[in-house]
Amino acid sequence: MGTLMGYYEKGSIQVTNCFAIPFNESNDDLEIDDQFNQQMISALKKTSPNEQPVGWFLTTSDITSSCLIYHDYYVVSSPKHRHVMIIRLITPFSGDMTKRMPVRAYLRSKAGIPGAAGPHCAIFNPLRVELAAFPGELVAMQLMEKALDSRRREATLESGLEQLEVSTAQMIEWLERMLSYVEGVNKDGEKPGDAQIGRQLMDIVTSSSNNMQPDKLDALVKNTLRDYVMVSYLAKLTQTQLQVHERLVSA
Amino acid sequence: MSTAVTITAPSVKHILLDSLVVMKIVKHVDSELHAGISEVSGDACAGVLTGLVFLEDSRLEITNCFPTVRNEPVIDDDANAAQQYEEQKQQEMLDMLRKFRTMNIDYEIVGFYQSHQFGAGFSHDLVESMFDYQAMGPENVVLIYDPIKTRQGQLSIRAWRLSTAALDLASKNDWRPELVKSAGLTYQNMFEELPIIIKSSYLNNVLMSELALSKSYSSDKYSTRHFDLGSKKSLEKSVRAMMANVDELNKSIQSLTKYTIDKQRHDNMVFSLTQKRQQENESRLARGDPPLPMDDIKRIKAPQLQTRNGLLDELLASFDTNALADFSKTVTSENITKLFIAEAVAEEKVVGTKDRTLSSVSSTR
Repeated sequence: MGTLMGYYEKGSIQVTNCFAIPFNESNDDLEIDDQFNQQMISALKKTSPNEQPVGWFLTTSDITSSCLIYHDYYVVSSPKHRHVMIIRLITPFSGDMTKRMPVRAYLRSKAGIPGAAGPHCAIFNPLRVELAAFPGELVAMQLMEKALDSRRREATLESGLEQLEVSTAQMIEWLERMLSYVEGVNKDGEKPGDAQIGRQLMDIVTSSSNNMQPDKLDALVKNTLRDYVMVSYLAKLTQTQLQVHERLVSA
Repeated sequence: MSTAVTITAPSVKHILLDSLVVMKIVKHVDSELHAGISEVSGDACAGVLTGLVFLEDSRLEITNCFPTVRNEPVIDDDANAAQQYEEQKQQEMLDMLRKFRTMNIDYEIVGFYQSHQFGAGFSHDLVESMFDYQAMGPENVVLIYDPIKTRQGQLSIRAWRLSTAALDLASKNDWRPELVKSAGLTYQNMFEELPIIIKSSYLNNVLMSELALSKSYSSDKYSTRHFDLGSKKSLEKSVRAMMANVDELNKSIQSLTKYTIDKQRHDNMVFSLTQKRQQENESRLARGDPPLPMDDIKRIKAPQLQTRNGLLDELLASFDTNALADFSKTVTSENITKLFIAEAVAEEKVVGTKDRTLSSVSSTR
């Protein structure tokens, strides 16, 4: 279990950081280390001042009554904030969900019989969870996905050329799939043609023929090629110069 | 600053980086870049790494990290305030480590990370910090993260540490040319790079697969960012930075030559003076007079190398330039490849000549 940090933005809650806190759940006694929580929050605030506590998370598969108590604690400990939500990362690996690990978020609201004195119970309304990432983070995540395939769950940092190779191969695969689809549609309607896909294909073809006109492409290639070759030459020259200088100085 | 520090040779050969650390570093640096903080107070986005060392396997595992506060500009120039600030930072770091220990996370410091544009930011401060960390534990490293290259589609994290010879000199904080030469230190063997392998736990793997299935992620995931041809601006900046470094290098080389010449002249002068004194003394002894002292000759000061840190600046500037040149080299060669690919794709449409020596750019004056 732990606290989530983030900020509120235009009707959605952005969660950008989290940390685990020690808690104890033994029979009837539930305890959370409050001091740890507060200290951690103040420490994190120093490095990223925009973040505030926005909720908490729990890695179980059900919402139990103890969740109510934890939620109460969080509402109390951060009184300024309107919504405090919880996220559950379900990790039981048993039952009907053996292959998945969904993330769910909830907002608590009071519920009960109208007209009665106070709320009888609380309902946790589910919220939609979406992933948003900085461009750099997406790149890092792409790299880590490679670890899925490796047996020892490792991934090495790849050089640019390898990456180009891999993605070009992927693009070729996709193009082939599209090609077989289009051919299937054309051949006496073997596959049902989807108008939307057709429109998107049309878009792609027209934009590419607009941007990649032969003379424009020619000019682009020639100019940039010369620029790049020059920069590469200068960089290598600098490096050789450095090495020569080192030899001279240390000789 | 440093008393006798025992320097043991590090025996770690490669680094195992947990994917959690990668994501945390990227998030910290990117969010600061996004908020534009780095332009205000310099790009000193840094943090501490924690993990474990495995000696039998000669690898260093980095399992967690946390960001450290940036240097706030000191408002009052009270030496006391600066001291207090330092202590406060130390206190915060220790606090965080204690929390890690409660949460069963590795709490042993194994190094620190910093973000620098184009992967080149080797300065005197960095060397000092590296020395401090390596004095704490011989296996500590520094991770340099390059946000620009990552934005262009290729994660760029490199691990460095000071070589033993460099550590030696850093401990004495003495970088005079003679010592540097006798230690055989060149800019190439001053820093050692360690290969990095990124590892993710099984739980991580499950999460990644889960995310891959979610709709919102897959649309951004296959970003063709690394196919982008438009990286000219960053290339310009890196070339400019290289130019600045080369200028500084020039300056330090000039002072070095001046120093060598001066030293030679000084040596010759001392030698000739000593000779003359000797002769005079002999003649005096022959006459029975007390010999003249040699002290005043010795008191003629030897010339000093003008720069603050002896040869350190030169080494750092060369290393920095080297790193920048690396960056430019790789980027340009990749871009050339991309251009060729683009040409191949449009092959059927290109009817014109493929004469590359012709340039269609008219010279502007």
